[in-house]
Amino acid sequence: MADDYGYINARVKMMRGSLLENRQLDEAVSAATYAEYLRVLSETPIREDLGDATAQGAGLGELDAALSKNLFRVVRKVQGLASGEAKKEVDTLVARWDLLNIKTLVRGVLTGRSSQDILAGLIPAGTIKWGVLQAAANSTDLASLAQTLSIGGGFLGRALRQAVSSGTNELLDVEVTLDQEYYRAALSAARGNNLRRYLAREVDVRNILTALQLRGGTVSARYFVPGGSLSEGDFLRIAGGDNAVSNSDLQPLLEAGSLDRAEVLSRLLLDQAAKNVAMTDVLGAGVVLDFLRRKEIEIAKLRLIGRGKFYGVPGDSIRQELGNA
Amino acid sequence: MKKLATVLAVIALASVAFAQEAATNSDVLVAGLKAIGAGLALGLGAIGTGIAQGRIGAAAAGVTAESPEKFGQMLIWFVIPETLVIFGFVGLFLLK
Repeated sequence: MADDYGYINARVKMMRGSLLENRQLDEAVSAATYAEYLRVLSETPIREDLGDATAQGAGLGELDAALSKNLFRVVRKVQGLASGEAKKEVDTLVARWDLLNIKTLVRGVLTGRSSQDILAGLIPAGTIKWGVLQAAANSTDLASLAQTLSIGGGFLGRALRQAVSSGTNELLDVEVTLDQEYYRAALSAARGNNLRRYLAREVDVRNILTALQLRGGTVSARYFVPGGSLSEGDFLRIAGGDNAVSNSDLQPLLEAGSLDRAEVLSRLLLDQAAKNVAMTDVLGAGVVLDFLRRKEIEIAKLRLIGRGKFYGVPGDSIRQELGNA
Repeated sequence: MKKLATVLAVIALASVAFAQEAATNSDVLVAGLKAIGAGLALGLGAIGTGIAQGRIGAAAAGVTAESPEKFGQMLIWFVIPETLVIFGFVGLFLLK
């Protein structure tokens, strides 16, 4: 196992050095105009993917395409570094974007959004081909979406098809089914204890957020995702209104006061957990996990700053949004 | 790794057995044991170097693939485990 990751982690650590530093992000936020923001970007490693974004008359569409291209290229490069058992782990980590994309597709189809809107919300990473996601975004109902994703949608596409065939059509039900399938696969693919601990933390966070969402409504154990440190009993207790949890790291989520605040805190908690796993799992998948997370955050921040600059939002407001992102 | 240790132990014991059979003279036995020790000093040093360089080499190849300008720095890290073989040589000559 150690030998698998010696080469991969060395390359990924070098790639981490090309991520934008806080100083560069601050420079981008401080840019006086959108054109200056693009100039700042053109002085970073992102420049090789900027392409049409810097052309005369280019707008947010071109910027989004450029940032998406960069994320896609970097993720594919990381996937390409791994082979054998390590590849299974890396692919599982990358499949997290499949999970997010399929959830976005399900949400979009159930709320009747246009295919263009749905496509704009997808992350161009993961193991599902972009063409399959585009075809899925054109679905008019959940059944046709599940049918499209059952071919080319990987194990999550098959899980969606199975769930829809068995009569599941509520958004939360579908989302929890996908989560259950993803974390089952991820935990079985994870070989190291550090990665397992991180995934268990993600499961705990997911369960707490679901429990908070269920408060005041119908509480059911079918929304519980196994694999974390919280038991089904803990989940039902939290959903019932109890704010006590044995793990002190998770306590702030329950005391957040609102679901939005709990989501922000959960992201910070997982960022910290990813950093910890990267430091303790130097010869395992932790370094890759942390890098992919950092890259995703970098692209999300650049999108946010780009929008702010395009519409002339003051720098302080952008900084505040970045803090909440 | 365990298999390797077992093989080395068997070879060492076999050598001792042969040495004992070959001569009863204690000087000859001491000379034989010294030869085994010298062989082990160099051999085990080389095995340790191999294991260390295998891992460092993989990481160094990764770093060099991303940043070719770090080749010199990686080369230094790569050759550091060679000191184990040098110590083995020193042990070998001391025992000779």
